Amino acid sequence: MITAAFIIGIFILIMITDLPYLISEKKKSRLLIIYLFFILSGIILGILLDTTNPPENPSTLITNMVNFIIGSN
Amino acid sequence: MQKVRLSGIQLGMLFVGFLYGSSSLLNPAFSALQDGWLAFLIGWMLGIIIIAVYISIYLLNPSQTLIGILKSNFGRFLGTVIGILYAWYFLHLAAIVLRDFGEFSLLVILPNTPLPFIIGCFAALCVYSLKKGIEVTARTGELLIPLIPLASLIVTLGIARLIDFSNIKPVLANGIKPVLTTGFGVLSFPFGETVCFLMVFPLLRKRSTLRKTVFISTVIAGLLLLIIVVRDILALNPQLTQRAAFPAELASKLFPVINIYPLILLNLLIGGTIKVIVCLYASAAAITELSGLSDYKALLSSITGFSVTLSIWLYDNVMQMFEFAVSTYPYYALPFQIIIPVLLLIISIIRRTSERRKTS
Amino acid sequence: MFKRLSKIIGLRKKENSSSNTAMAADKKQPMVEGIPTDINDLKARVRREFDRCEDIVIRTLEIGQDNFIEMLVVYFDGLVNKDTLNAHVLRPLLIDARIVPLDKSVNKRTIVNIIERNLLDNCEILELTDFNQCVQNILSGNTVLFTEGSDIALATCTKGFATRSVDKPDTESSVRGSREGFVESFRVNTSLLRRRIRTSSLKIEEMTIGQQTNTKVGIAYVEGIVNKRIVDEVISRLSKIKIDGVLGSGTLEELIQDAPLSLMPTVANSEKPDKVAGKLLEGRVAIITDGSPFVLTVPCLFIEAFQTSEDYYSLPFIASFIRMLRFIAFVISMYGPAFYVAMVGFHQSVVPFKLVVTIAAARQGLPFSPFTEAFIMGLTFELLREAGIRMPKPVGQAVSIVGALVLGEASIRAGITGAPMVIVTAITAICSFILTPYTDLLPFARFALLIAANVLGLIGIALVSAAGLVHLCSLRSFGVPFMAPFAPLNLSGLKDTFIRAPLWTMFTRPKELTGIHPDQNRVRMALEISPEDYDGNE
Repeated sequence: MITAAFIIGIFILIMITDLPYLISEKKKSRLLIIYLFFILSGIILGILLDTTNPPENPSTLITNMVNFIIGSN
Repeated sequence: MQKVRLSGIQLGMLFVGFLYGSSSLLNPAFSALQDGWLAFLIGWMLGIIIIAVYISIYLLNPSQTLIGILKSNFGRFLGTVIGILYAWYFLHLAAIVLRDFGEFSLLVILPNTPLPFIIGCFAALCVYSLKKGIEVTARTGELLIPLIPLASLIVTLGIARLIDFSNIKPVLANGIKPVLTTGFGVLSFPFGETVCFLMVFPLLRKRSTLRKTVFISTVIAGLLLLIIVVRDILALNPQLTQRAAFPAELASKLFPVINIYPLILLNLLIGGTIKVIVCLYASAAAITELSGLSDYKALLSSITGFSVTLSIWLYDNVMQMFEFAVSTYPYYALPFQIIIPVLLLIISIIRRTSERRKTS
Repeated sequence: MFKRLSKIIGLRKKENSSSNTAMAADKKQPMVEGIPTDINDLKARVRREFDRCEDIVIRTLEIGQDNFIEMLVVYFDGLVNKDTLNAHVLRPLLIDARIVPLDKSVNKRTIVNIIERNLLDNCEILELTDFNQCVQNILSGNTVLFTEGSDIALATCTKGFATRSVDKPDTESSVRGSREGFVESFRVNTSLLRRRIRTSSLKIEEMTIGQQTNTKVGIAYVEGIVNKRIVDEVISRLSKIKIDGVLGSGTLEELIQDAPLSLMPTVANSEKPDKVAGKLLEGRVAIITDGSPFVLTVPCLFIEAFQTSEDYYSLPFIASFIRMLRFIAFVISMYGPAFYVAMVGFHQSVVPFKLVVTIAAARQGLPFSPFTEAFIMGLTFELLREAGIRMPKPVGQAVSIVGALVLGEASIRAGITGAPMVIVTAITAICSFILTPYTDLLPFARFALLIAANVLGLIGIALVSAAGLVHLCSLRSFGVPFMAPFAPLNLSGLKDTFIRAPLWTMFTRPKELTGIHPDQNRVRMALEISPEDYDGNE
C-alpha cells in the first residue's frame, strides 16, 4: 500500500513539473491521451510489480518469441 | 523558439559517449573468450558498414527524422506502425541501459540501496538535462566525454603489469563459429544501437560534415572499446572475465594499492547518461512526431517515468539480464538495426533513381 | 482549472522574464514644463518644489546697473562647493558685472546669453529650458541661476561634496597590478577608465535609473571591439528597469541577470580599474553605477572567476601554475566534505588501507555520523565567516580567536568531532577564499553535494555535479554561453583558461565575446612580435 502511494505520488510530482509544457501545447486532447497513457501504465505497472505475483517480464516474452521465430537450439 | 542546432564536434562527442556508454562495463565480446578481440574486430567492421547505411539513409532523405523517412518511404500507415515499433525499441533500450546502471551500482557500490531509487535518481538527471534542451546536453557532453578515455587509460596502465600474452592462445580453439556469433552480438550492441541517431542527425548544423564526424567518432569509440576488450583478455584471464559480472569492475579491483572503481563509475555515469539521454530523446521525439505534437519536452518525463518502471520490470535478476543481453538481444534488435534500415536504404535508392529519371 | 493554472504560471513566467514588471510603477514620464518668466511666479514655483527641503538655499540677487535685474540662485547646501560658488558665480555676477555695461538698454531676454558668455568664469555651464531639468540639476549639486524675464536658466557646475579619494580596493588586492580602486563617485570612476584607455573609441553612454534616486548609470565599451548586439541588449535591459531606488550596482546586477533564479551570477563585478579596462579590451561592456565602487561587466563567463589581472602581469608559467592552483582550490572547496563523507561512509576500499585505519582510529567514540559532523562544522565555519565580516574590526579579532579554538583543539578534545573532519573543514575554508567571486555561493554547492554524498555516496556526488554542470551549460550571459570556451568548445579560447598562454600566442580577441564579423579587425596583437625577434642573431 505504501509503495503504491509512493509511486502515485512520484507520478503526480512528474505531472506537476510538466504542467507548463502541457499548457503550452496546442493539441491538448491528443497530448493528454498519450501523456496519461504513459503515466497510468507507469503507475499500474509499478503497483503490479510490488505485488507478490508480478506479471511475466517482457524479456522472457521476447526470448520466447525470438526462440519461436528462429527455432530454439 | 530558437531552433536547436548541434555542431559537428558536439554530435561526434554524443556518438562516442553513446557507443562507449554501457559497453565499457559489459564487455561486449566476452563470450568469445580469448578470441574476443577477433570477434570485436568483426563486429566493429560490420558496425561501420551498418552505420554507413544509416548515414546514407539520412543523406538520401535529408533533414528528415527517422519517422519522417519511414512515412515517406513505407507510406503513411505502414510507416506509422513501424515508427511506433521504433519508439518502443528506443524506450526499451533506455530501460535496458538504466537497468545496467542500476545493477552495477547495486552490485558494486551500494548493496543496501533499493534499485528503483538508484534508477530513479539517474533518470531524474537525464530528464533534467533533456528539459534544458538537447543542445545543452550536447554542450555538457562536450565537457565530460573527453574524461572517458582518460579514466580507461588510467585503469589500463594500472593493470598493465598483469598482462600475459599467453592468455590470447589458443587462437580459434573452438572454430570460427562462436567468434562470428559474438561478432554479430558486438554489431547489435553497441554499434547497431546508433540507429537512435537517425532522430538526432537532422539537428546537425552543417550536413556536409556528418559523414566525417560520424566515421571519426565510430573509429575513436571502436579503438577505445578495443583497448578495453584486449585489456580484459590479456590482463585478466578470459575464463575469469566470463565469470565476472562486470569485467571492468574486476579490472579496477586488480589496480595496485587502492581500488579505483570510482573511475569506472565515472565512465559509466558519463557514457551511460549520454546513452539514456539519446534513447529517451529519440523515443520522445518519435512519439511527438508520430502524434503531430509540437514539443518533445511535454512528453519527456512521463516517458521517462514509464521507462523507469519498465526497467525494473525488465528482468527478474542479474543472471537473466546477462542471458538476455547475450542470447536474445541480437535477434530481437535485428529488425530494428539491420532489416528495416536496409529495406529503407533500398527503397530510398529506388525512389531516388526513379525521381531522377522522371526529371531527366 | 487548467486555464487558471496557466494564468498563474504565465504570470510567474512574465515576472521572471522581464524580472521587474512587478515593480513598474505607473508613474508617468514628467512633461516638459517651461520656466516662468515672472520673477514672483518663479520664486513661488521654486518654493513649492522644494517645500520643506530645509537644506535648500534660494538667494535673490539684483545685478546690473541700478540693480535692475533680479536673479535667483538656487542650490543645495552641502552638495556644492561654496568656494567655487563664491569665486566663480557670485563674484562675477555681483562685482564683475559692473564692468560689463549691463544697463537698461540691454534686452532682458538676451541678458542670459551675456551672463553665460561674458560673465561667468565657471568652466561648465548648461542652458536649461525645462523646469524639471533644473530641479534635477539642483539635486545633483549644480547651482541653477534663474534670470528675471528669461525662460532660460543656467546651471553651473559647482559640485562639491564629501567623497572618498581613490584608494586601494578592499576586495581584490594585488601585488604587481595597479593599486587604484574605484570609488563611489561616478565621474572619478569614468576618469579612471578613460585614463587607461585613451582612445575616442571608448564610449561611455549615460542614463538615469531609479524613479526616486535618479541614479546615474554609465555604459562603457570600446567601439570596434565590442559586439554591438551585446551593447544593445545591455541598454534595452537597463532601460526596462523601473524601480524606486538603485543604491548600488548589486541592484542593477540582480535586475539584468539572465537567470534570476540561478545561484550562478551571470554578471561580473570588479573594484579594479585595470581589470575592468582589460575586460573592456576583450570586448565586454562595463556598467558604472553612481554611488558604488563596484563596476559590473557583462557578458560574464564561468572562467572569469579564475582569471585575475595579476595573471597578465606575471610570467606565463607562474600565471599558469596559479591558474591551476585556483582550479584545484575550486574542486577542493566544493567537494572536500562530500568526498570525506562518501569515503568514510560508503567507499572505504577506495582509500588506502593505512589511511582508513588512521581515520577509523580518530573517529573512535565520536557521537555523530560523518555527515552530521561535516554539516555542523561547515555551518560553524559559515557562521564564523559572517561574524568576522560584519563585526567591528576590534571585535573581529576576538571572533577569529574563538573560532580557531572552537574549530580546532577544543572540539577534538571534547570528543565532538574528529581531527580529520577539522582538517577537511579547514582546507575547504581556505580554498573557498581563493575564488572570491564564488566564495558566497560555494556553501550551497558544498551542502548539496554533502547531502547527496550521504544518500548515494559517490554516485550521489556524480549525479549532483552532473546536474550542476548541465545547469551551468544551459546558462547564457547576454547571449554568450556561460561555459564558453569549454562548451561550446573553442580551441583558441582555451589558451586563457587552465593555463595562461604567453601573451604573444593570444593574438586574437576572444571570439565568443566579440562575435564573428568579417569586417572586424580581430587581431589584438601584432604577430611580428614573438620571442624569436629578440634573439639577437640577426
